[in-house]
Amino acid sequence: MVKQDTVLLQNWLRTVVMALGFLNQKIGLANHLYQVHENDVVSNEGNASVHARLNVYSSGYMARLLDCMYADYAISKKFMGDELFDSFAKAYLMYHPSTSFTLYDLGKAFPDFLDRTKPQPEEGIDNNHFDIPATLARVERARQVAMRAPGIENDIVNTNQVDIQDMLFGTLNISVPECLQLLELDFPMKRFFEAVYREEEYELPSSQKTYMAISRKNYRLVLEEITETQYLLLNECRKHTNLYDAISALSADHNISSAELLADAFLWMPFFRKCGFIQVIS
Amino acid sequence: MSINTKLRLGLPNLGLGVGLRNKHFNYLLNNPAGVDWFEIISENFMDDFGFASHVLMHVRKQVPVVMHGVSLSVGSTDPLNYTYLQKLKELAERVEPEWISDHLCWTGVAYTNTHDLLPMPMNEESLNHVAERVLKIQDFLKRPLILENPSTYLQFKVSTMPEWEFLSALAKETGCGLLLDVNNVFVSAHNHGFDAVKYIDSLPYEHIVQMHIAGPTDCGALLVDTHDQPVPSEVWKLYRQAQQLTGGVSTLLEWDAKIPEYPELLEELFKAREVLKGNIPDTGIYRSPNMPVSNPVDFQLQASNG
Repeated sequence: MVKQDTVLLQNWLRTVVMALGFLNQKIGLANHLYQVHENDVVSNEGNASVHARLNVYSSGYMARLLDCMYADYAISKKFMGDELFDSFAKAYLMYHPSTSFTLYDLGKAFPDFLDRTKPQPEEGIDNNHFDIPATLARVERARQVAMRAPGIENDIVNTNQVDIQDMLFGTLNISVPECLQLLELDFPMKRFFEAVYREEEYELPSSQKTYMAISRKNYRLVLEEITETQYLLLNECRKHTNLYDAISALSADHNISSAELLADAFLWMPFFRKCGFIQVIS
Repeated sequence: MSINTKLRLGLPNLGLGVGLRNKHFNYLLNNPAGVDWFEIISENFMDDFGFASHVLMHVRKQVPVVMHGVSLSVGSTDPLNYTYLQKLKELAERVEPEWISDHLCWTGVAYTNTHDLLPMPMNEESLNHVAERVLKIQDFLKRPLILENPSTYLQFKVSTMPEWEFLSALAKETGCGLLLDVNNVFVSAHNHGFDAVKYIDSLPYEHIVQMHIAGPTDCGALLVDTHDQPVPSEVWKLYRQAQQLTGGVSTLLEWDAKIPEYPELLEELFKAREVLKGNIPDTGIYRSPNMPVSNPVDFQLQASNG
């Protein structure tokens, strides 16, 4: 008889809890892998059968993690419908078991999973809408990240108007909060996302390259569509502490006139600051 | 670390508390805490710098806070997760909790996490294993670890001692504290046919730092620890017994699914005062024909503030 030490018992029970299939199949696999029988492992004193006892852990596992997926991707669930969402979420959980101590990481790879498992487009038919669930989930995940990452709530915020002289002479220091999430998307998502969220009527968005910034200000999430140049500038600002340096770098990398960029950035700054995308350092 | 033999390991009796849950965040920003202390789920606040963290620091200014974890996995045969422990330590530096607790269980092995509180075999081998890890954790955290008895639905045939004997030996060997969940004693006693009164009487009371009370669900052959119901009479009776044994320790009402509004939650908590006077509420155990989820995670999930 195999020695049932703690290592073996934990691996056996882990298999019963996490393996694919129905309870009998899971128990069968665990028994086969560890050369034991459930009746030799689990005490059968009391009213409940060994299978009923194992079922509490086995069924609880998937139900518990599905609840987590429902909370993390509530808007995707509304869009996909309960049945379809459950199918994808269950498959995701089976192929991406949690390896983290926090449930916050559980759904991290779900947008990529939806992308990888979407139906293959048929030739000659426009099936772009198959890309919408993954895009929607990407926006949802970015919102979660923005919700938790360090923001500017505890900073002393400079609210003075930006002086053009400071921009021109390179003395305007800036910082981009960690909670800012920048997304390059294949659909315009803002109106669509908000309509699904509020359970309003909506039309499926048509395929179009768009950019989105999501941030948090005063513990409120801000979600805005931005232009490609705004997207590039905000990305560049992450690498610099001075706005002029960010503009110069962007100008050099993308062959855009720095004078034009300076003029645009001057106009964009109030919007960026209002949304919590950027802050000016005194 | 030397073994502390003081009552409650010298830790304070904080009085009556509840878990800090997303559902009550807005209420708590606009109203006084109304309780003596809060318990937080440690993992919910690790790397969280948003609204949840703001609410935590808001209540922290009013009353003490205790950190209660669900992913320490002290019984796992995987190596200790020092990344996790470092995060726990950093959170403790920020929150300054009265103590840090988790469960006598394992949550995963082979580097996976089931996010459940899985049962330990109870024998010399597993006791040595857990004791060694508790000592390492306490050295790392520079404070005693407080361990809770979980609800269990199975026992391993290789077990050679009852859970109370395992916990007693662990507490004496490592100097760790005990978080006595009287509801979990009630649930496990029902599920395995042991005597709950004897269980509580057999624990080294000087190590008991805190108690949990909660309401389970009766699913026929098994009771399941659902934390979604009022505390039944049987659990209140065990609570009274345990409070008499210990001379009084911090009490926390756990309510983690179908969470009531805050004032209703406090009404349930304050029944504890009447219980100590001998007035046991007449509350039955909720019965369900369906198998509910043990250790629900609703309370661990992010509340959207968007």
